[in-house]
Amino acid sequence: MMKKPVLKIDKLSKSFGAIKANDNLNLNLFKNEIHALIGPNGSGKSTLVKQISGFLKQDSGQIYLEEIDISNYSAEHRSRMGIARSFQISSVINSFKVIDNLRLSLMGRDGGYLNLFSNIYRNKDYSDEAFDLLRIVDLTNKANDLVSTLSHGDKRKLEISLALSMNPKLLLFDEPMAGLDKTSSQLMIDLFKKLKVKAPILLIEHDMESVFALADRISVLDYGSLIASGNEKEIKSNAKVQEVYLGDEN
Amino acid sequence: MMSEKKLNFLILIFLFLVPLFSILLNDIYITTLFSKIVILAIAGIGLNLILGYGGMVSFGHAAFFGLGGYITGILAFHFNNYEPIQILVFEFEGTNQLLFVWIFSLIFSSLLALFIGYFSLRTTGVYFIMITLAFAQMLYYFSISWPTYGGEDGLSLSLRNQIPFLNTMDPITFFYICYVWLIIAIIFVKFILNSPLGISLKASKENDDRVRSVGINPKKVKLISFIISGAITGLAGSLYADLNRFVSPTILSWQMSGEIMILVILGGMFRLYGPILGAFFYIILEQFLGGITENWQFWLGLIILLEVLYAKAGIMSFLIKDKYDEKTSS
Repeated sequence: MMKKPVLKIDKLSKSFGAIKANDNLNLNLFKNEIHALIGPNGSGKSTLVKQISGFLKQDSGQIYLEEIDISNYSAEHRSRMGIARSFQISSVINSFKVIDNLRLSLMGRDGGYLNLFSNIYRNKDYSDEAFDLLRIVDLTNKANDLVSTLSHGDKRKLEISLALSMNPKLLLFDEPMAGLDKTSSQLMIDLFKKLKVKAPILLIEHDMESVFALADRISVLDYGSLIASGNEKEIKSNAKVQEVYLGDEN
Repeated sequence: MMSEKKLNFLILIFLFLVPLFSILLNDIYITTLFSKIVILAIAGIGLNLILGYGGMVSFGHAAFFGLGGYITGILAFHFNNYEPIQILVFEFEGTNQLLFVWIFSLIFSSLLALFIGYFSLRTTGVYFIMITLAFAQMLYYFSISWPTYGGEDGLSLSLRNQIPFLNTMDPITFFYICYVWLIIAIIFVKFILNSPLGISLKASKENDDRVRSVGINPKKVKLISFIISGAITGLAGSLYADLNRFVSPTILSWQMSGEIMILVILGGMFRLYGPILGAFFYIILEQFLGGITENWQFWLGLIILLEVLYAKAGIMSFLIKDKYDEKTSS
């Protein structure tokens, strides 16, 4: 029997004027998998993540999450369905404390955000769950710090914990290692290896060392089109990939 | 310097004792003046919910303030002349009972806020400012051109609306009615700020994308907050009409919107009690500077200019010690 994909992208296209950001793209993501998406700047990787997460409307094509067509669902609806994402540039609430960012996401996940009369700061279940999530990314000691005072690496960690708080069925990480030092990158690599069992990961990353250390499958985009897909060995030996992307890395 | 909690407590105690000062100084005008301060503070608390905590710069809150005022005036007008209010084929009696007047003011201000918010919240930034202003100006010109209710001359209330067993014409009684509403507004907004809606509102002020990515629809959050804000401001308008026993298009004008916004900024956005201090200083400056020079607005403008340059967090920030001042005001 064929494995059913958690995420299926079917002939997805998106243009900005004359520029084709994604052109007739097909892609699958299966359980227990880290699928890395690589390609030169402007090849359409982030555009694809934005379309999957609902922040950008596709021109044509379909997106399926566990066989449900979510192509026309809003971003917030998709988040509640379990599509969790991190942003290319850290996107957290800087004026909040670390733990309040998690309270916000836990409450958003449960859908009771129009409630006027319960005190979210006194919700013990959320506080306990928030600390559990911070423990995963090793941020418990900064739970009550203002996010604006955190380092770049800690903000990245917080973003990952926010994604995890959504009970994700699918994790979309857009350059999570960007700007991190070696130690923090290694921590992320170890973390992602554990996380993929909970939810498959679609990973956009420029750091090829991390990609090869993590990815079960790699797809390469160029000018919005998929030019290759396979494991590390297949990608490294692909002449076209060498020409448009990996060649530059060397 | 003191803690914010202590200052808030002192503000409430001071306001509570105002009628006593008034009696001791044998000047009942002080109580009436502070009734105006309390009413404007309620309007400011309404605006501050969306301006300070939600980042929505509404330059049209006079629409809600004025509507609350006009509903009060119109109900009293029809009560006094025994003519029913006709809306399409329906007829309604007027009333002079404050409880009904407040309920009508709250309902209609909410409905107006739903209407204005629904369209305005499709825009952001300067467009949001302009569209809220445009809606308020539409109502302003409509009120001018509606002779039934006085047009440009406005509408007088022969007596204040009433509450059973209370003499609302007594300045001290009326002051305490306003004071109770101020307490209710503070408690209500405090509840909201600690609620899921409140945390979503504060988050969406800073980062809509983050809010959406955790499953929250920021437009819904903003619209509901806008409606609550409009309702609170509408109630303040209703009290204002009763205080003055007069309502005119002036309270629908853009100057009124500006006045409410100024007292919020003056007292301190992001602070629940900021608009109370703002209203206090605004009215006191108006009285004090107004007694010295006709051009008191010039000096008020200068004070606001200095405040915006050197103390973004408002007068509250001078009086309290709070390590998060800079961060929350950025």
